[in-house]
Amino acid sequence: MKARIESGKIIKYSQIPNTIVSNGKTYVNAKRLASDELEELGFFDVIVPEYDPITEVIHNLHFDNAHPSPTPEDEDATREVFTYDKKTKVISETVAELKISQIKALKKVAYDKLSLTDWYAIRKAENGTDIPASVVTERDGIRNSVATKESEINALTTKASILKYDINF
Amino acid sequence: MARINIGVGAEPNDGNGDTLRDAFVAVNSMTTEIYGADFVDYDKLAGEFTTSAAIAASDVDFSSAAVFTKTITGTTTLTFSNVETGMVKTLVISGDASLAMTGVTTLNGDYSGTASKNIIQIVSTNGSSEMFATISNVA
Repeated sequence: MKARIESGKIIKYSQIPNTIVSNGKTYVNAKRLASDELEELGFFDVIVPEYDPITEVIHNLHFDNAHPSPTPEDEDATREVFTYDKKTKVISETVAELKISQIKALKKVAYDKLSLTDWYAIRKAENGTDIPASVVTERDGIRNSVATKESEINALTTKASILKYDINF
Repeated sequence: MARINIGVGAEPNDGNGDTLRDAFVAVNSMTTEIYGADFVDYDKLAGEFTTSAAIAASDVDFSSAAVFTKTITGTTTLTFSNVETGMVKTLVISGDASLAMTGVTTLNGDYSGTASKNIIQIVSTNGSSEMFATISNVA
């Protein structure tokens, strides 16, 4: 992605427009312009900084005329780019509320897994047909996993750790 | 020569009109002038209205041809010289590279790098300071 400042605003382009009007010239088939030619026309790469989307947000897209861009030849090299600042995400829920939310999501995962073999249990209840041992083992495993993970979630103490906890199994 | 009016009288057969001979002498003298040195046909148009020329470098000289051709292989910037208001020139451009046209302020249509030809017509509405272009693609 590239961006350019137009009429005082930063405009992002997922692809280079076919026609560019700049400095009294009209460029056609502009997508074939080389990066350095595009930079002469004000188009620079948009660099998204590494960030944790669970606990951080990116904001304030701006032009950075000395963005670190190390190369094998020059570790201190910089270049001109558009980039974002990042900041800690404000999480309005309390720790307890986040735990409840995660445990609810965990149980939804377990429900979906158990649903696949529920018919064995229904048949057992209606006809007395035994549930295959492998299915019993599988369903017990699902319930044990839920119990284990629920305990692990309840033991967490920070919002970030709760949000990052993997409920899938 | 001023236009010659052929007398036809006031009403049919009143005897006041020119003779047939006099009338056609007048017609001949006027058509001779029309088809004479001032008569404009294609052969009399200057090369800037009738010829096609390859763009050798980057300048499109409006006074040199009517149609200009070029195949581009890398980013190419065209400049335009001897532009006069009202002139229309045709560029026939091929090649999958970017083309910059200096002084063209408004463009209608898209250039296609995969088309066999891009027909670009440029018209000047105010000398070299205001030129408009339209592009058509030939598959």
